[in-house]
Amino acid sequence: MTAIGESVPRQDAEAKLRGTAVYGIDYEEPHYLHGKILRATVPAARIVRLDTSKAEQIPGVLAIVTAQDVPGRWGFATVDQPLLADGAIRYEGEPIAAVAAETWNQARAALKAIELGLEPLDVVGTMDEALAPHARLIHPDWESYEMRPSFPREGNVATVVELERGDPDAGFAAADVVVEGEYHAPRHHQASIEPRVCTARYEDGTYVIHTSTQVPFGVRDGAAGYLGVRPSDVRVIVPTVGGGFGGKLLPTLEPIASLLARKANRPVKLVNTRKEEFLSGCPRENAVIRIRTALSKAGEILAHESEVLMDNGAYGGEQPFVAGLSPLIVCSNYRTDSIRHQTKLVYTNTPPTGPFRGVLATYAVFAVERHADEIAKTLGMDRIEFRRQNLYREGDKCATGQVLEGVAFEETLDRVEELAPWKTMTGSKKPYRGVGVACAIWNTNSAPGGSTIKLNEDGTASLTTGATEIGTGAIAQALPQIVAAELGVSVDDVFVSEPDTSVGLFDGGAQGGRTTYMAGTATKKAAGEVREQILDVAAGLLEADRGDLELSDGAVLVTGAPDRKVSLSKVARVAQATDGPMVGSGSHAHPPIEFESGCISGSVINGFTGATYHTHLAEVEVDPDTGQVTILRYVVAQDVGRAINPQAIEGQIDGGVLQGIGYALFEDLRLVDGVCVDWGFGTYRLPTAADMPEIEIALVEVPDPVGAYGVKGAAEAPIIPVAGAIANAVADAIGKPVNSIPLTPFAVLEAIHS
Amino acid sequence: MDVLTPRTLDEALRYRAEYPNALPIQGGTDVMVDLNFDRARPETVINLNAVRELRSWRRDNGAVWLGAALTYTEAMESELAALVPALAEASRTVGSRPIRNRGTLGGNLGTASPAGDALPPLLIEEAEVALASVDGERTLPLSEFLLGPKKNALATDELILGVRLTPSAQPQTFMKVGPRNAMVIAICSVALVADRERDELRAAFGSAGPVASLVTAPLGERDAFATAVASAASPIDDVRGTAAYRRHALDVLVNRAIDRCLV
Amino acid sequence: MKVALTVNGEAREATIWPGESLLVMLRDRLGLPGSKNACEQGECGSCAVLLDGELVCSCLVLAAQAEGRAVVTVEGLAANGELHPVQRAFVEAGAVQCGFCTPGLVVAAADLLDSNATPTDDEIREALAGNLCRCTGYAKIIDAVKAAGTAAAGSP
Repeated sequence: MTAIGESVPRQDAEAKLRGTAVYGIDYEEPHYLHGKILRATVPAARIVRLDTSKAEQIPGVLAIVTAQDVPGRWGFATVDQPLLADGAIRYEGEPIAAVAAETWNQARAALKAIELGLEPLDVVGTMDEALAPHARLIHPDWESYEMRPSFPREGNVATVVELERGDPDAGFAAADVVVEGEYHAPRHHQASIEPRVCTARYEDGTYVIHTSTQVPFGVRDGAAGYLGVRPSDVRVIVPTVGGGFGGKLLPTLEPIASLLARKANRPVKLVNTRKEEFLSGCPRENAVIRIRTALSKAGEILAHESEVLMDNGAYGGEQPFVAGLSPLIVCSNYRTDSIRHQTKLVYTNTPPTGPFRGVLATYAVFAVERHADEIAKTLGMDRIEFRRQNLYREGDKCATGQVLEGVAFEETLDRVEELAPWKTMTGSKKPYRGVGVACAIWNTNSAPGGSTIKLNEDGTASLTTGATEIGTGAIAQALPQIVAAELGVSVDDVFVSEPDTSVGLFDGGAQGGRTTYMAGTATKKAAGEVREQILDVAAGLLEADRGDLELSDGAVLVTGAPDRKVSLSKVARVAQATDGPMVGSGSHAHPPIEFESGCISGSVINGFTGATYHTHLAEVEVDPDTGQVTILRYVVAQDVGRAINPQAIEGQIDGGVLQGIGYALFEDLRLVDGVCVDWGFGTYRLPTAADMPEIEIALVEVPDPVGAYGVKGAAEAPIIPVAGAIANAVADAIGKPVNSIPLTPFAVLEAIHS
Repeated sequence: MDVLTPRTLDEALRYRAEYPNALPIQGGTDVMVDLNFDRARPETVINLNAVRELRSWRRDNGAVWLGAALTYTEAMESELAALVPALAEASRTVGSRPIRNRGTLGGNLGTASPAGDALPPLLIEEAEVALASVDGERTLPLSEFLLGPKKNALATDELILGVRLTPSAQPQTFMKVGPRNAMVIAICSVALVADRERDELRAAFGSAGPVASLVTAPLGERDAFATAVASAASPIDDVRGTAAYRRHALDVLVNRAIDRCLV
Repeated sequence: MKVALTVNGEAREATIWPGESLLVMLRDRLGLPGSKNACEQGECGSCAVLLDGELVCSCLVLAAQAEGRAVVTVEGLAANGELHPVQRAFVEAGAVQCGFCTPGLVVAAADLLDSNATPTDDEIREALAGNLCRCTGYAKIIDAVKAAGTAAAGSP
């Protein structure tokens, strides 16, 4: 089983390097039309007039669609979102109409010719405004919206998640010390370099969509939902994807392109400009977190109370489900059995927010870890000592009462200690230099997946799965490595087909670090089935016992008698003639979690699957005159269960940490009264090669009981502890608390002078 | 849309006179953004890439002539950098390598943005701008050429030929503040020369007022100079930074620049 | 209007809309979609090509400005089908993830190594500061460029 643990290069590297890989933005169908969307330029209004007749007269314009062509609403959780604005505009950037024309210039002219009459409405731009008594309802008909499952909600509050365990009131009453803090985090945009883009055609009753997506089955279901057809009437195929990070999980463009394609009877290509990406994407929500902790003098946590306000934007999307994670992470890391928590997801007249790598954990851990440092300071305890005393240990219960197994906090703290000894790091206190640490427990998404493997006549293996490669290497490296290991072939002899919902088994999408964890485990099962059949056939051909056989180098050989062997290609051809083509498949879903049911409402997420443990350390220097923060050192210890491809995991850690640095220091998708201030790379600043510190990495392997070879999700988590670690380091450097991110030079200067 | 590509300066000036609404394009780093974003749809574009007379730089009797087509990369080349060091330093901070290869001096002058990186270094060396039309040439000090944010004294039938200055050969520097290392449009910037021969400190700030502007004081007043520069600026709150921060940063930058020049 | 130029060593001609960029001409008229359109304002570098040997953002060059000039795109880096040393180094170092920024990056890296065969880390960072990558965090890209430089310097 040699391929596991090897840093095998990606199968798609060469095509990407040569510039021949076909991304969604490159993909073209014959005679395709250019689609363009008319988007709202104000955050809130009633549509009193929408006249497309002049636009329809423009030569070359073959289809125009509005809400009249696709009435009704859809949504993952709450059915609250029309595909095209229906009588009301709820956010700047909301699609109102769409056109398809022969040329880009004709499409542009058509948009200009659409007549729109609006009655402005008062903008409910912030959560405070939305929650104020007598606030205008963004969804006056909210009660009529179906929500599945049904969670508590009312008016501008899209959902409420609550958790209570033990006796927090008693804990606060008995406390020697109570520490309180309020923390603020900004909107954070995925900014994948390839924007969202799709091409759709309508062919004999089926919508065929090529799209840059992380989740073809989610797009299938969303498109089918909006278009009023069965999921199997929608076929989604995924070309090479130029990044996603959560921004390509929602079906935003695909249903519109499909509608246009059917009306025009031609394929339609829709490409978001960078501005549309920022205006209508689903950035990570801005949030406010309040935490109160009751402690004994000795530093034992007696009770925890917390609240979170999450900004949903104008429509629910996936956020009602994401909100369910909130208590799990905000009430997390530190051992306590008395917890009270509430999270409110709030509608505002702003672009709908959505999942971005780590979802709410990036700000939850920022808050929790800043709070931990403040606790340590208040108690006069060393910050690492406080953590070692109170972080989860084997057998402790997390917020929902789930008993944690395979806890690896200690191991990650130890590895960081090896690389950056705490006494040395905090010993010589240079002015405006600081060190900070952040620890996190995170989840691996366990949506199901499946794979099919056929053994080809030439002894190679072809893998078909609905799982999608978005750059992490799960499909370009890990899955072929698993097949290679199980079947004894070279990774170069394993071929993976492109995701196609009509062909591949269901997969929950490239998100939450789940692809290797779920699709990889399914693939190992599929490979196991093929392996069994190979052994059966080979045993006959070699006249040996199955138990004496091994698979290696594309052949089956008798252990100890290397000249008694048969090639896989012979096995495949013999099997084909006698039994038919050799094939194996595997399906995988995670067993249910045990937790204290009844302690949590408003959530379908009840605990951790594939839990991973993390410690990050940052050393920073602050310029007291300009407020600029320089990261001198950054150390990561991450529990990955089993490192199938160490180089690929390092790449994920490098990338995730730098995204976290952007979040901590300069990324902020700003809105003023619902109007987007940052809609281009000129003012929404992504980290460059000049901003990246050296990142020292230690991989910890505490095996998962369920994942193949003990693997856990690795790609999502690295972004999560970064803001916490850096904020703690900056607070240490300036000797003042910093409870808001990003820590721009302005913010740091303000903190220094506060 | 029509694209005209004149081969000589004379041809270019004739086009400018004939098409007063035409948009001249040289490096394209500003103009192309407007075209790509559909913010501008001129009927005519005049491509100046082939006009040799606008290119490069030369010495001119103790003075230095910088052609309008001089790129930031060219301004960083060692021979010219030795003559106008603050300009070379400013050029190094512009955008990124591909932007520096195309962005031009003439473009900075033509756009007249208060954030234009080439402007403060040229102001401290009291540069003059040379303009031409079919009716002839004229020269005016840079401070008189820059009229306001994105406003300059260029007539619709004129082209910028270039800039002439007499290098002070005195210690000078350029500094810029931004929240991210590279690819940043200045939150604020300063060019400063400590001119021992004239017993004068000259500083020009960028992104801290409607127009990049010059402030001077005798060398003896160095301690109060940073405050003087910060007071002379009239920064605003905008998408990139607040007025308060800009004033503060200017103060910091000027002091650091003085320290660097008067070691 | 028509534009005639040399692309990757071949004489090419295209009929364009006069307001379009060199990037659009390469992708939509000349069948060279390797250079990518990600921001249209010269901030991301994914459209980087060589124009008469100089690294430029092709989204900021008017197509008509490329008349009579020589352009090299990512598709032209591999000589006789063999990967360029920079491309080979990217494969080995694990410097490719989603790959969308990769074409612009390899063009910029090849351009750097052409003038400076053994750049320091800081020189590499500065040279590549115009190329945004959201996936890799740049670390393995810098490793790759260093390795490609050393390999090229070491070869006769």
